[in-house]
Amino acid sequence: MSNSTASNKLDRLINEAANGNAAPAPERELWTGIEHSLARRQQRSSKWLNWVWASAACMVLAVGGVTFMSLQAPVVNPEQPAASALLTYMNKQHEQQRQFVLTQYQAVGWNGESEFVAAEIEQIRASIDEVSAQLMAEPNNQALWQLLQWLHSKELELLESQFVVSDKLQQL
Amino acid sequence: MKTLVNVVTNVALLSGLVFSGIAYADQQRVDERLEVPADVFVKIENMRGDVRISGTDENYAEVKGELDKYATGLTFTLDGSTLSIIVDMEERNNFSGDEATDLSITLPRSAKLSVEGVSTDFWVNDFNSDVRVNSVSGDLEAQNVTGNIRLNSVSGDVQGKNLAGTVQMKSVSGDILDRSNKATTVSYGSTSGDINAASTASEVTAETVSGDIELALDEVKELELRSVSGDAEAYFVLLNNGRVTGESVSGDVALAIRGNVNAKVSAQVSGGGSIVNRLSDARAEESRWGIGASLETTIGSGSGVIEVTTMSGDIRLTKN
Repeated sequence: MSNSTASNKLDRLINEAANGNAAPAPERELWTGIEHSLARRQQRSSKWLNWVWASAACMVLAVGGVTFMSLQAPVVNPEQPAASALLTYMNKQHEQQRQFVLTQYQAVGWNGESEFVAAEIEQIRASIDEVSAQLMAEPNNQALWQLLQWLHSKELELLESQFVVSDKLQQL
Repeated sequence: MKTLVNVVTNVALLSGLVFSGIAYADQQRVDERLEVPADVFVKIENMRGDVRISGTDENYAEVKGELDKYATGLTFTLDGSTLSIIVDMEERNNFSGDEATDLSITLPRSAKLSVEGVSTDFWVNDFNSDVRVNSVSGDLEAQNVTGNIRLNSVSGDVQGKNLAGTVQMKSVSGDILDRSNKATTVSYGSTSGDINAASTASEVTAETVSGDIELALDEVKELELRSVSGDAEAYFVLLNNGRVTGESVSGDVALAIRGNVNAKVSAQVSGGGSIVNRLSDARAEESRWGIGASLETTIGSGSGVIEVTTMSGDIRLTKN
């Protein structure tokens, strides 16, 4: 029954089209439904975007929080002022010794410049800075204090060896 | 054509012989001998070349070989109990050419040695005494020596074999290689050179800036390792009450321990390194900030101490 009705409708539409009649029109207004459908999709996609933005904001907050807390951690360390003073004293004393050694060598004619172990001296100086910075965060780490002392003495030892090499090998 | 080739070859060979003859003729030959006390203090100085120093059971000092072509003579004198063997050089700043000193020195086995060189390779064999050798750019090799031994080179390699007593080996840019060391106390130091040693010493110190350290040890009472960026690795047995410390900036520290371990263990990494503990089931705690880790644990009776700290290197504690 329904099949024959559909078939009749189709035949009528074909005939109308063949006779050049106007284009077939829907039996009811469909645009309102289409509009609703599009709006719903848009709403759904903006909801998803909101979730993305919310997650990103959470991430930023979390990273910022951790960074802020880690930056704050050394400040609240009660040992830090004493450690800072000791550190400044040790590094200053080392710098004075270093300058004294260089002045002594300059007095006997060496300008303190040599390629020999220059890279290692540079490495030691960078390590002194690195260990000093870490000691501000870990003032109770005895091993780090010892390491700093060793780095100080090692730098002076290398300066000496630079001088010995420059002085002796000049003769050859 | 063949005749021409023969002539050219013969001329080349002949001129080579003549040239080498002139070169050797420039070097003064020495062959001297003196009676000396058994415990004589010997001061040896040479600027460049090769010097071999051997101990003997007899009480004489002997010097044989050729002097540097720039040498003005040889000081070979005994003043009281001090023997001087010095290759005297011209006063100049440029010594070029290969015709350097080549000497063999024989001394009483119990003679105390103080040896200095600039670009001289030294070989020191068979002494039971205090031996100090310093060279700037020369290599040093000591074998079968017992006593207070100090071998220092700035840019040369330092090698030891069958050394005993108290041993100190140092080089700035050269490597240190020590085999069959039977010292009680030994100390190795380098700046950029590697340290590779096998010793039965119970007290050992090894330090470097950028070189690597590898130690095969026996029973250790005291072991100290220090490094800036080089890696340090030690294999040993930890005595009860033994103490091991390792410190580095960015180098890794690996301790492989044989036998039973009885120690309080403390390991700390301040930066991005990690701690691996295979000595016990204890695990390192990571910092709450995600950077750095620490391990505090007691193994066995806890009579010994193991303390290792690095800024950003890895720490590895294992049983060997």
